[in-house]
Amino acid sequence: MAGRFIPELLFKRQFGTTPLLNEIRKMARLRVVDNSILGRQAELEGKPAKCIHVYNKNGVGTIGDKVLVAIKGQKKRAFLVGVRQKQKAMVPRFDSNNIVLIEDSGQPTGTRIRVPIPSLLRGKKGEFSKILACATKFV
Amino acid sequence: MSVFRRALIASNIRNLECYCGVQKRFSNTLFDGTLEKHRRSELSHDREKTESFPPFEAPKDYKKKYPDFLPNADWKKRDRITEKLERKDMLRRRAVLNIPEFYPGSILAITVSDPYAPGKYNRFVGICIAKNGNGLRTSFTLRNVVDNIGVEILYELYNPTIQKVEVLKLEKRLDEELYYLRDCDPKYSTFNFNMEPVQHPPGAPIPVNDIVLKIGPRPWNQKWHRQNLKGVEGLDEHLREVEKKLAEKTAEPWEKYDIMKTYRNSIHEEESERILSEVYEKNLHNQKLKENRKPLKMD
Amino acid sequence: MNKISFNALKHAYRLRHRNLKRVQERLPTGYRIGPRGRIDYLRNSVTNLFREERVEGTWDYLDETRGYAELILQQSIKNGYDHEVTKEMVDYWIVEKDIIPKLFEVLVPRFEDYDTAYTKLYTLPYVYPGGPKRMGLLELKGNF
Repeated sequence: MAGRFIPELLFKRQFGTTPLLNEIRKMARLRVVDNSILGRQAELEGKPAKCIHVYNKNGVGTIGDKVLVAIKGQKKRAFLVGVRQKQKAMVPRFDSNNIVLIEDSGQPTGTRIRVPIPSLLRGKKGEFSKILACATKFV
Repeated sequence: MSVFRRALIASNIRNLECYCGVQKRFSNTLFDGTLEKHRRSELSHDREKTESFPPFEAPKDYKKKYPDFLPNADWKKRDRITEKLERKDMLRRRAVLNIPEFYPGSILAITVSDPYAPGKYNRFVGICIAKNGNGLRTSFTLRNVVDNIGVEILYELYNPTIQKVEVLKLEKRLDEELYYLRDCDPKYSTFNFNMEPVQHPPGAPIPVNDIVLKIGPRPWNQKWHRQNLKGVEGLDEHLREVEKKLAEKTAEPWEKYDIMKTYRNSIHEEESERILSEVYEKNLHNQKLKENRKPLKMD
Repeated sequence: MNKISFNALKHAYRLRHRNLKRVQERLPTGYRIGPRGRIDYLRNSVTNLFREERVEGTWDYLDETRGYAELILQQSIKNGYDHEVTKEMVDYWIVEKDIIPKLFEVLVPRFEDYDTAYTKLYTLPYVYPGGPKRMGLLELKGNF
């Protein structure tokens, strides 16, 4: 009744690839969105900030994560303020990966953020309150 | 047991399953067919009366107004009991919040309750790029360009934190999914937050916006040239010869005519009519309750 | 084709399509295989059914054609020839164009008032010594 056939598992020789995930890891290029001189110069030169470490248990950064960034030959800390990765419901997704540069003391390098920021960051305490003070618009 | 014999039995079981209604020996799920059979069996003690179809025939626009009430077309994900419970919950939500009719291409304004916002509410305006899901999982994405940066937010239609859904402009586009707006000129995705709503006369046909946009330069977010999009043009200029040839090679023009595939991935008329007439009956019932509700006694 | 609203099929159809691996045939343009080959084979099969009205063959392959034949008849009866989408569909599925008038002038009037399925698929007996294949007979009802 049933014809002859070969079990598939014996003859499978495949590997899978993931779709485009847009994750922020080491070597990811990030866009500085505050009005700091360092950020502006890096953008004009055509050598954007590059992520060299994500302060996270897993090496993938999302909105609100702290990141170590190499910009114009120097190391600087920054906070991720917008991400291209697909987000959960109600969380905005931006068309570019945005960061806000920060000094070692925790003070933001720039004085104004020229781009809207996700509203969920308003709930974060500590170092974020200084950044939120610079923000102009919330989404 | 040899590998071949085990695979033979497995494939036969899979074949039987394909004709639906036959349970695997070791599964812990109860098929709808078996459940219905036992509910109506003459041998049972409390024999349930067979479901009488409601005499109400839903008006023709119900399919457009309430498309999220129709279930998933994938037979493996169907569960009539869950669907019925979900529909009940959806109607209860709709009694409190007005969810209007909209399509990908319409401009919406969503007000969400936000604990951190100064006025406790947060409003976002954008064009609906895509509408996915069914039942309580219906979701849609809004896109807008704010301060020269594109922002997209995914909203779940039946999320209780949504306070208001306004349709500022009701219209359709040439495609069902407008993800290509990410790679087009940002001016086509920019919508003023204080936009005046455009009145749409009730019962009028939904206008189709025939606009065909020119795609921006490479790199693109997706392979638009492989997607049979009608709302974009100018793709060939940015493609190399190799890519064009590959697109021709991988194209599947016969898929459009595969009517059995379309049938299997859709809900047929009889089922959708049955479900929507149920919704209509409940709506009428709720309307009657509203009318008959006695006014509160104020002393 | 994605915007067609279908009515329920009146026969037990398989919930998953068959891949039809054995449709290989050498054509002037090359071999006919894969999903394209499957659809090409089924087009010819459906056209043949509408022409002969009674067809014998492998049961599985006839079961595949049955679904398509039923849907084409259902849409033709519902919409008629003047419907754009139906016209395009019929034009694609019926390869020999002299069958199209037959469909709308003979078959549609015959099946207009049917509540049941328009086709019937019988299982033919295994004749000794026989082979492993189950043979079937697919016919349009009322084909005398």
